[in-house]
Amino acid sequence: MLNSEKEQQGRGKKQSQLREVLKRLMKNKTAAVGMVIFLIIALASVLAPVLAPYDYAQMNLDETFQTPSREHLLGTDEYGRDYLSRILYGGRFSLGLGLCAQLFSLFFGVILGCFAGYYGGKTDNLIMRICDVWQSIPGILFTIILCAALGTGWINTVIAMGLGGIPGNCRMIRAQLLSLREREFIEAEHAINCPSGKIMFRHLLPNAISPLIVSSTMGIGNTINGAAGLAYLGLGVQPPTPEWGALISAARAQIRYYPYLILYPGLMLAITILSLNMFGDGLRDAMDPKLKN
Amino acid sequence: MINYIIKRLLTLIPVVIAVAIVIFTIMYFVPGDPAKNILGQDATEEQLQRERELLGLADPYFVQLGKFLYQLFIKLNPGTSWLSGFPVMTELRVRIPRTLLLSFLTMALGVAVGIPLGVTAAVNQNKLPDKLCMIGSMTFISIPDFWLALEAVILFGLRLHWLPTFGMSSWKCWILPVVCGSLPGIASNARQTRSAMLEVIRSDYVATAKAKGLAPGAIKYKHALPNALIPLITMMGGHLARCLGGSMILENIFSMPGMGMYLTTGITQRDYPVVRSVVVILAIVFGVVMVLVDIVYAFVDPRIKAIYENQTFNLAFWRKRKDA
Repeated sequence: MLNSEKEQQGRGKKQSQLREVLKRLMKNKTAAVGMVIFLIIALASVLAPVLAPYDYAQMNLDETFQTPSREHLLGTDEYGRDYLSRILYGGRFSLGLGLCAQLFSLFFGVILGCFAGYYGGKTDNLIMRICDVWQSIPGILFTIILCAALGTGWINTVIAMGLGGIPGNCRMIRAQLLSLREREFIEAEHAINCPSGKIMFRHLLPNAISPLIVSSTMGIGNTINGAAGLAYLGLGVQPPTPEWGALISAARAQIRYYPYLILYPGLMLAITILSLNMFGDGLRDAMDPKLKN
Repeated sequence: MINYIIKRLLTLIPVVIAVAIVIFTIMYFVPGDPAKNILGQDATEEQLQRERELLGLADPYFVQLGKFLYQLFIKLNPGTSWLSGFPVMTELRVRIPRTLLLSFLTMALGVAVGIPLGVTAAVNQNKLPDKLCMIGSMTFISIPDFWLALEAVILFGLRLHWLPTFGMSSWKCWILPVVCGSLPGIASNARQTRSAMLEVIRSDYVATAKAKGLAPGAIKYKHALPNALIPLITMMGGHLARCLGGSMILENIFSMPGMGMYLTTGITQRDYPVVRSVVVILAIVFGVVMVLVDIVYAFVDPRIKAIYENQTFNLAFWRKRKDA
């Protein structure tokens, strides 16, 4: 840290923190590989309508359970739907689910955490006690219950997965704000009568958000994993939707004779989560070099 | 120390009651009519109404909530399953030990394999064992456990016929679920042990030990390891919680009739008494484990024990922590 600061002063120009982080990130091979793999998967999912050879919902009962061939690179499922197309489109549902749920929990976690950390006192106490109860229910159990209450489906899974992540994000932001709000620049804001909302979200939040970015990146992978588990239990996204967990859930009946139907979506899940974890690990090291072993 | 344990256990009570209220409220707002679910689609409105009154569903929210809490916490009787008509308590008595056994076994395997792996990796930092260990743990953290379990069923159960893939009739039935369930735990324990160990290895007292000429093995295992284990104990609570959650899915894959199966079938059949009591019991188990972890933590680390034993110091300590 000190060295890099000295270097910057020596060169006479101050690089932005973002560029510094990116530079460190690109030096880390694991993180770079993770990012590239994830970008490829994300791009493939976004471009699914262009890349997919067939419509993902198009059934063809003459061609059920085809093994991989030139027409159907990954074979077909029990209704003769092209499996490659289903997996490509499935990426949209799986990745979108992870991303949306993380954004959801980030949004509400940040707002609650900002209020708790900035105002302190009774507000803080109330929000923290709510978080205590929230977190005393084991994570997956809470999500299962929420899924039962909200019903199945993509949006409901996003909400259920997102709600579970709120207290963690809230705690993290609060802890950051508790120390930040005593700093001189905040005192200066108070002195010039800056509105509370502006202090919280314009001045405190940017200083407190970096650990959250890391945890959310890793969280996307965990959310995709958890949502797939829920879909497998029949509580998340339901089978006709080609979300990867739902694909596995639908293929469970064919486990004995057509195990490849379980293999491909699971592999995609594993590769996606692995790439996100590799990237997240590198991001954490890049953002806070002190933590690096 | 005893005061502290009692205090911690007492703080569990409001949390458990709050969990019960939250669960009850969530389940209260679940769309769908349980009476229709029990009697079937052809039931007349009159029959439905009678059933609702019988189940107490016609009462206002607060009356229902009060009755639920009274039955659960004062009479210790979570009621009967709406669909099977069996008392929930008798079911739970059989199922709780199974789920707990599965969770403890997966956790124990995760600790027994994960920690030595992490130590090996840290001791050989940046050498081959370390790299292999890190690549392996990163991979197994990322692989969805239920998919891994399904693939294991395909390979060892359906292809090779080595192991049974469902039920719990013999000890062999436990091998696949426990091994598959513990792999993510092994991986995360290995990673955490490695980083905790590396942190301790770099500390001053290890340098002192090296300087006075202690054997490297003695430094690593006798001096560094015990201190590296302390932060790991705090993580054991979360680890067990994950194992409990993981056993919900494992039970479904391997058709083991434990709490997880009970809960998921309860949810799909809208069997509210089952769902509520399973969740409250799991929350109690979870809370007790967290208290146990804290107590073990205090016993292992004399510094923390001192804080708990000296109450005045304790208060001052927390006040300082709060201000910081």
